[in-house]
Amino acid sequence: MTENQTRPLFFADELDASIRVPLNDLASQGPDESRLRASLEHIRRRSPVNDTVEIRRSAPRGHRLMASAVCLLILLWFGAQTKAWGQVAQDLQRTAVAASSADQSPINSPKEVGPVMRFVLIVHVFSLLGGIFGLMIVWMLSLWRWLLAMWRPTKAPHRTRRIHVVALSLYGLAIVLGSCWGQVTFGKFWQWDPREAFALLTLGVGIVWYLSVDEDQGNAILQVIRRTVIASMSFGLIMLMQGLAIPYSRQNQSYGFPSIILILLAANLAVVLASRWWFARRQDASPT
Amino acid sequence: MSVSWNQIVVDHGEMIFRAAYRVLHDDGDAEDVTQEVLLEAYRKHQTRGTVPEPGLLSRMATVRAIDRLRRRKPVQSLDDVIAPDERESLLMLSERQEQMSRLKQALATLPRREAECFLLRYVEGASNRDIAKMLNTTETAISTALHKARTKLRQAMELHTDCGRKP
Repeated sequence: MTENQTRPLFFADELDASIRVPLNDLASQGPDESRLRASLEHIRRRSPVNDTVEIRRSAPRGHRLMASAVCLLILLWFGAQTKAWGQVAQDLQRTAVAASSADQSPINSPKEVGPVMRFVLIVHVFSLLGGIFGLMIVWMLSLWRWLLAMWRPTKAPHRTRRIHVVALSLYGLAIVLGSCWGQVTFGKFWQWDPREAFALLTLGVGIVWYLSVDEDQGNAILQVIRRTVIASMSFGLIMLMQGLAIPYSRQNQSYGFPSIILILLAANLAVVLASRWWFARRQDASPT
Repeated sequence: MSVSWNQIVVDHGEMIFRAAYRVLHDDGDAEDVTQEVLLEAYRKHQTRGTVPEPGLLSRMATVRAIDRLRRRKPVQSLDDVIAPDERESLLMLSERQEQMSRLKQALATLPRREAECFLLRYVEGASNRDIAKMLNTTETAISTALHKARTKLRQAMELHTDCGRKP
């Protein structure tokens, strides 16, 4: 019997015997020791670190100002890209029109397609946009969270992983449906042109990061960097590659930026390696 | 100073588990309560840099255990499942056990605030001032809640005794 198990009631003289005796019995019975140890071990293994983003303290004032300035510049730059945004909107509109009309469909030789393939194209376009939008949302949430944490450290559970999964799933669905459309258009499901390769690379990197790097653990800024790379890669499919709705043909289906794939792949690998090195160093340093 | 999850579990887990078990008398429920309290302690450590003191953790466990006790479905009475000829001998043998069970049921039917005050004072040994601070209310309100809790519990236990008494 431990001290905890035999501890008497407090202020027992205030209680009637009809309450005091059963309450004393209730409070004095301890748990089975083996069950207690097993439960504590079970709890210990369910570390909350896996469910949360670790942010320890607010950043120095200089860092906060610098981060604010950088973010402001990025936002101003994005806002200034009116021409690019206009082009994207125009491309999306043309793509939607093309998708909803068989005789204007973006195929090399316009031909009649059935309602199923028309539906596939529509779902392909919107799942691609949904995937890109989801990845952008995840990126912005991470950025927002990191900025907030500079002023007010928090350890709230992270919920962007679910959005990340949905976004990657939509992106994968878009690739699969796009390959089906390619079968109708070009007679091949997959032909490794830069656009397809870029989309597949983005999906692959996204999945690999999701599975191998614990996105919800560790430094928030690294999470922001990783998600920025993924979001820019997915968005780059539109922004860097001349738009979705340019005239589709065998000749200009390749957009002429194959080298950027290698550059982004190298950048991704560098970030993954840096993340892993960072986490390994932190785990070694933290007491157990 | 940085404290890991493992360290918090080792330092406070047993104490919290025992506090929850004192109210619940169920290993699974006590484990869930322990997990909740340890998680909250860990989060407080991450945001404020300090782990709450053991007394506060124990009281948090008691309060959460009361919540869980109140959420439990009512247990079927022994009277409903045991034959009349066996009932008397079993009641004799397990009279104290039965009283404990009655007290737990009575605690579960008390309003939440009264049950919390009652257990925090008599099981955890917190003063009225500490309870008032923890529950964010006044000492007068705590005294009133304790008085009501004692009265209701006494009535519940006496009612049971009267019902069980032979004419």
